[in-house]
Amino acid sequence: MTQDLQPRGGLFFAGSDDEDDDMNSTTAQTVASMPPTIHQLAPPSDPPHSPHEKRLFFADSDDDDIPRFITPKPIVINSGSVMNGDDSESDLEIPSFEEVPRASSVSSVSSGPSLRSSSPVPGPSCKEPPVKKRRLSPCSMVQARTGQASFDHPAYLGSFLVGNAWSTVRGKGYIKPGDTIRIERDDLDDFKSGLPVSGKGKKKALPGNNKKKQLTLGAMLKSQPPKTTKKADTVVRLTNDRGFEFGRLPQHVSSWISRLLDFGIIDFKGSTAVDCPATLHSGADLIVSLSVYIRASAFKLPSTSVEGPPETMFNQGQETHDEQTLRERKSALLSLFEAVNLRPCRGAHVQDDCNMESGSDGMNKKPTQHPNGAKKTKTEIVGDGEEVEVEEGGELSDNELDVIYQKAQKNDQSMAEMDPPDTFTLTLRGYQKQALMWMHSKESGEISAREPVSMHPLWSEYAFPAEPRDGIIDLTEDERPFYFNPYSGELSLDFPKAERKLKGGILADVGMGKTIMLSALIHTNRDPEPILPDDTSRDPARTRQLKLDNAFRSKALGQRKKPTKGPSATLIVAPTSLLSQWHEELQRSSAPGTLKVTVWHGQNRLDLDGIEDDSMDDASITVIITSYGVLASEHSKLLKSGGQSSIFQVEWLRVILDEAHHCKSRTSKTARAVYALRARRRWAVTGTPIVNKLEDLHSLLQFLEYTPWSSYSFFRSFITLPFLARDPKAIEIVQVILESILLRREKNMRDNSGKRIVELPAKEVTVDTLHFTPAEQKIYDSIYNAAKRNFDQLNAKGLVGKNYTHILAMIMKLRRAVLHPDLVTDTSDGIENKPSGHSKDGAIDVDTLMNDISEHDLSSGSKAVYAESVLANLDVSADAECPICLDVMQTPSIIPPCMHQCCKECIISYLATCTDKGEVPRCPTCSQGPVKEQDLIEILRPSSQNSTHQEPTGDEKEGPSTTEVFLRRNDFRSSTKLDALVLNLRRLRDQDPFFRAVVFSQFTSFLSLISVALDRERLSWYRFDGSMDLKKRNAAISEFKQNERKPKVLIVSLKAGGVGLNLTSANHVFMMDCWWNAATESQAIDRVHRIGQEKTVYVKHFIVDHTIEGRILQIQKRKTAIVKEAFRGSDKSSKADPESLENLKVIFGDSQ
Amino acid sequence: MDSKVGPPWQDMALPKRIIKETERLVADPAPGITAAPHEDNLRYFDVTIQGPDGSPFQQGVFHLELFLPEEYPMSPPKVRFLTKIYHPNIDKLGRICLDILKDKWSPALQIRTVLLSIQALLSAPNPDDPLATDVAKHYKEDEKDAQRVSREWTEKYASN
Repeated sequence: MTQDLQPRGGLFFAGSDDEDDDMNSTTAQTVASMPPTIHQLAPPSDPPHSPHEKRLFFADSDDDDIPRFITPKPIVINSGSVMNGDDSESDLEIPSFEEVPRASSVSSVSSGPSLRSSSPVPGPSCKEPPVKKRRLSPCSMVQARTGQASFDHPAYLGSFLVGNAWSTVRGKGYIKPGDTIRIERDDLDDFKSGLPVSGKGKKKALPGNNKKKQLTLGAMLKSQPPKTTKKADTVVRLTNDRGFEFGRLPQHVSSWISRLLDFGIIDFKGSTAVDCPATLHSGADLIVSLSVYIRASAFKLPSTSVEGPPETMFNQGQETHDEQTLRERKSALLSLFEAVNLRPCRGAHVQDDCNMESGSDGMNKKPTQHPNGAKKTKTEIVGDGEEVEVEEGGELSDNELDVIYQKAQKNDQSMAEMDPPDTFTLTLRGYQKQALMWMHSKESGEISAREPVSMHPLWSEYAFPAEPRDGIIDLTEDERPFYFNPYSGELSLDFPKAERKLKGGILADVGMGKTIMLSALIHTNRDPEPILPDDTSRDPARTRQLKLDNAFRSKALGQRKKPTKGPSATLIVAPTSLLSQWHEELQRSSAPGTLKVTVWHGQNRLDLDGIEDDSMDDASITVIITSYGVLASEHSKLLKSGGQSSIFQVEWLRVILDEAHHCKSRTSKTARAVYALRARRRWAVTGTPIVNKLEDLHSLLQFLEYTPWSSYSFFRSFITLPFLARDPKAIEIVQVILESILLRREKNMRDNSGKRIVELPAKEVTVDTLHFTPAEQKIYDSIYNAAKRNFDQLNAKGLVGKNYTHILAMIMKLRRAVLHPDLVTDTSDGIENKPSGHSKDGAIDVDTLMNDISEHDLSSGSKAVYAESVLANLDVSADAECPICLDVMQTPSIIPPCMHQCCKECIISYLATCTDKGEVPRCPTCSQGPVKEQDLIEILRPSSQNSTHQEPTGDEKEGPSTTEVFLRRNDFRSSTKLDALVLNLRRLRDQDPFFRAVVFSQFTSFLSLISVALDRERLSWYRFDGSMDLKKRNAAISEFKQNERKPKVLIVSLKAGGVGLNLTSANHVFMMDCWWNAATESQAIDRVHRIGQEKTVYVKHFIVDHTIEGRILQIQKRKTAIVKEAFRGSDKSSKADPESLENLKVIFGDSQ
Repeated sequence: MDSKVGPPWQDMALPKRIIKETERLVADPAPGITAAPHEDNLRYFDVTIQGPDGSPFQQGVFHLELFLPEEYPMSPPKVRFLTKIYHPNIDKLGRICLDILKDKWSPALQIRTVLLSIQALLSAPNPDDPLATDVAKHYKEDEKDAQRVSREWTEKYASN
């Protein structure tokens, strides 16, 4: 720069040592930077005192004597079509002036229609020489945003003083204080052509290359190397109104002003020299006032930058030329805003929303933490690519989760409702109709059931400051906002809505009948979508993302015959356990023949290729239901060389992921398979979109293709990392995302009129505290003491953390010991808990017993008589007293062969005492012995009520034949918990002979014992656990639900059946053990207590007192999220965190 | 739900069986026998047994103490004469030699049956299985004289 100090007379550009085409380019330059001059040339069609006239770009009257050498033809705005006609090279996009301003901006655009029709187009946006256009091209490469608001002339942004501009000339008469000055740049194409400029001419960031621009996220995420622009040409010249250069802007200002001028973002008008020496000399200080106007073209910038994020997945590390350009643009803009003191009035970088009413520019200056204090953009909060893989996201507490969902739920009460079509046969409740409306609008994309009002979280709103006219600010002028994305450098006049164009969303209702709502949706939006002309016209991001997966598909696709209509089928992906439930629910809710539902599972899966054509034939809708497992295996088949899978070839109208949190880990096979599905509409259905971490949400967003958040690095940068840094912005962004795509209502929510949206019958939960028998207590105590000793030793040595897995295993054993001793001991002591030889309920008939008695050849005849009389009177002696506890016998047992009776518990306890003492166990009543536990015979008496109900005519006296009493061998060892369960079920049967109960346990081995106990009670039971194949599970559920006149018990493993199942035919729930996390338990209970339940639900937890279970409850109450993590599985990590250690101390603590 | 009341074998609360036995002893006492628990220890009973008619202990009222151990009814109660008695199966300390209080105990037995057994033991001393060997010897060698001593002791110690 310093070489060019002497002025050159006669040249417009004093400092220009360029070649001869600079006349041409200078013209362009001038045009570009001085739109007011054009205005001066405006045809008389612009009435000087038009009442509507906004003098936005009448800067100062000083402009009057603008030289006439600039003579672009004035162009009337409406002739926009002409504008780039003369330069095919230009891809500069001019805003469509005819376009009706959008609602969001119409009120605030200050230029009324009258102005637009009459005022001339400012220079930069109209006819320009090609060179000029190329120069502008970086900003115009990218497609214009759709729906650009009208903006047809530069708008005032603000003024600022530059105190240390310096003179490049010597002498008088160039400039005096108050004179209008112009700000000019050298034409860049000169540099581009390789001609050296003043010895420094290495211009790196040539914005003008007509290369395909691709802004990648990496550029935005990378912190800017501050040096980049230093070597670039940043000379900004100051010329007087005659075009003579007299000075330049100082480096710290020119560095960014040069960028802004080059990018065609700003103009200077009405800039003046404020102070300068009368006689200039080289290097003399000049004080100039610069008034900045933002040009229309600035608002058409890299709008697609955030639309195509997947690119960043692959080349995050590098910064392309174009990215650099954009980064410079962004930082230059931020510098400008800083210089003119323009602050966002809401959006990114504003802590609190502030209202828009703040009148003047000055009032908009809210205290903000502007990230870019200076001209160097070091303050990008997002960090660079390296950080991205640093650590796992933090866990969320329940409170935080509530906050996250809060916003999405705010307006849900007032949503409109929609009725399903006739083919849907069920009646929807109000809130379900609301959900239908919401989903319908999400799919059609037309009406928005829930009008999004949130601004895109990355954007900030700015207000155009009022332009001072002759030093007066007109406060009556309309405020007009514009929007700036400080991360990408985008500018927009349109309100950047947070909502995106995806079709679909997250349905996160809890226990509200999601299946039914989705069925209604399938019926409602049933028309196929039109065929798209070609596969690639789908979301480009999507195509790219699938590139790898589809490496083999294109061939296959080519071979397939073209479908004759667009996608119309729906694919439902659900956990295996829920497949048949989906099938049934869909059938149940559909008029016959309207829905063709296929469960695509198991070995012989059909080829799905034909489904589109098949569905054409009739009016029915095709629905395919499959499981995550099948999908994942199909996907790996697909990835294998040459593999094909029809499920990935079909383009679905709609894909629904049920219990979508199954694919929350984005790297899992399941998740990747799910991403590879082709679909027009996507729904993720889950009660827990965020299970533990914010990142759980990402996988859903990726499935939904909810750009830009579907990009992992984007999500990570803007959500996960800020969240870990305790930046409240992270939660805010998540809230905004969810507001636009998530519907979540809970059972206890109320509608507008204050009624609960779901009326469920009451739920009564009781905790039954039980006590061990001495034998059980002994077993438990020995295990507990061993475990405690072990723990204490480890704790003393500080080795608990290292042996965490081992301790967890000990705890597991304790938990099993609470349930049944057989779960922790060898059953080699005589009693086999498997029905052997006998019938499975252990039944024994009286005749056999009689024979046994006579075989025993009892010494005294009277005893035999007594025994016979006992057997004969079994049915009448219902309230006999146990000789040991002196109480009425609950579970009478006969001691053969003397036939004396005791409570089962009492006699077993006594026999154990005798064995302990080394004595022969004998009958307590007659001392006959020895008596063996397994010889005992239980007397089972179904309730008398029951029998009288069944036999209203049974008043004949000779009725021992009709007695319900039966005898059972004691060949099964029970436990406190089992006894409690059996006792409860017996009582239940007394009250309700056709009861339906669901029994949950975490241990499948305990489920087996329960089933034996139920057999012995002659109760019909059905089992559902993870080890069963789909067919068996389905059979179990449907048999359980079947309407029969008998009591039924479903025994379910908490893990397999805790979610999703609909078991409303039952209304009694028994929880046999307690889980670390109360939420899991309540979710299991909700299988029964949910939509469709008509009776009061009774829940009973069995807890054995003074055992580990009490401690677990204690921990449950502490409600720490860490607990969940710590105990979730020993496989994950064998390290313990301090919180978990605390919990272990609770378990092994001494406070009983 | 009713977590306070433990099963019969737990020591913290008084087993239902003991309560029931106590109630029955009070409501329907066996002839010639009284048994009342201490107020501060419901497992400790003050017992009186009248000497059976036709025995040397006739007219005597004998005081005993009865204690129900934790294991009761799986273990027998502990019973001891407090009143001095001249009997071959009861020693100077009042200890009683009775099989049901030892190896022939059965949980089907109760306080009442135990006390009735002791009363019966007064009617039918068994010197062949002695506890107080000198008394047993006396009974074996000269039953009449031994019965006389028994009567004297009854008069001396057991007649209020």
